[in-house]
Amino acid sequence: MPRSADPGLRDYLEQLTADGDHRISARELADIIGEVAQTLTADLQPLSVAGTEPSVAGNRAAAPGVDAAGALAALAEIVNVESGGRLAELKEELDEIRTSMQNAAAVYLSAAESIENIAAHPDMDADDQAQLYQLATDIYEASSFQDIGGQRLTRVTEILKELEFTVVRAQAVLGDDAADQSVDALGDAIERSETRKMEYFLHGPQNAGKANTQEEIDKILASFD
Amino acid sequence: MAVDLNMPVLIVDDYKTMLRIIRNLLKQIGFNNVDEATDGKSALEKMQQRKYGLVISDWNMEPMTGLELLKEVRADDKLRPTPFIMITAESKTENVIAAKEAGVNNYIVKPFNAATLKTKLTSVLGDF
Repeated sequence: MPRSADPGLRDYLEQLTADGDHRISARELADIIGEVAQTLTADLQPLSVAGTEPSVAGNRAAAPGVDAAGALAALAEIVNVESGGRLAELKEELDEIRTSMQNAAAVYLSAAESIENIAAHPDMDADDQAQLYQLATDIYEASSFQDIGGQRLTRVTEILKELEFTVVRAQAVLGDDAADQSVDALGDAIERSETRKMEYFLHGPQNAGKANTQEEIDKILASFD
Repeated sequence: MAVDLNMPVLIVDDYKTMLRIIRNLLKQIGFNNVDEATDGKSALEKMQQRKYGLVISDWNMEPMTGLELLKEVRADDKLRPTPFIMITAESKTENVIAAKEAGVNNYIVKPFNAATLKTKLTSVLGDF
């Protein structure tokens, strides 16, 4: 029997295509992927030992022959709703990096401020003073790495949340009750965040070559005059 | 007329490092009367309590973004005239257009340098 998409899903995809510039939230995307996965696996023949029943809680049954317990065990390595998992470890690492960067920037800024205090001494030679002020300025400018780096880390954290949502959703589909109870809250949080980003044009730092430079931005502003 | 370097300036950013950088760069230029806020909402509260000669704000903050703050400022008869510079990593064309349409006076993309900040301040406030 040929596999075909659910009619509702097909209509939705056609609507998206017609809309052209429609932006899809992570949740919509996860729903689409889930629907497609269900469509594709619905008529799969048993892959593993016949008669093996998934020994998992919940009222959703995996497709016949799918080793749900094995899949759940593998997914739990990535996300364990109750006790963490590798994604939780990754988030902790990112938090550590963020804190280290913040501390490093604070040290640099204190050094620059000390340089300025020295430069402000009334006996300081004017040329030396100018050089010291320039050094302090260079440090201030360079210290902005913490802000840009921090925003990039925030984006990575958001991507991890989306991955977590996808994994938890898969766990729920496979019958994990704890995952089933947390999946809606995770999805809602991601959707709220994405909706806000869409409403307020939030993209975060762009990669080199993709971002408008200050000169290009000045031209855009000038076009309003 | 020369810019009054004693006028109160409000800088808004959720990164304390960036607040400190902007404050120090402003101090180098001569501005010593600088207040700070870490999001749009607290910035708006400060603006309702004190008249500022300039606001320099980041965009991406919670619970109120810089764009929302700008719109609130421009919608308030008392606050409307306040010069407003956006300093942000949000550099897409749609961001710049949205900010301009909301009434921003100038727009600086991060990472920026001291020379750019000074140029934009001159553009918005006049010569120092």
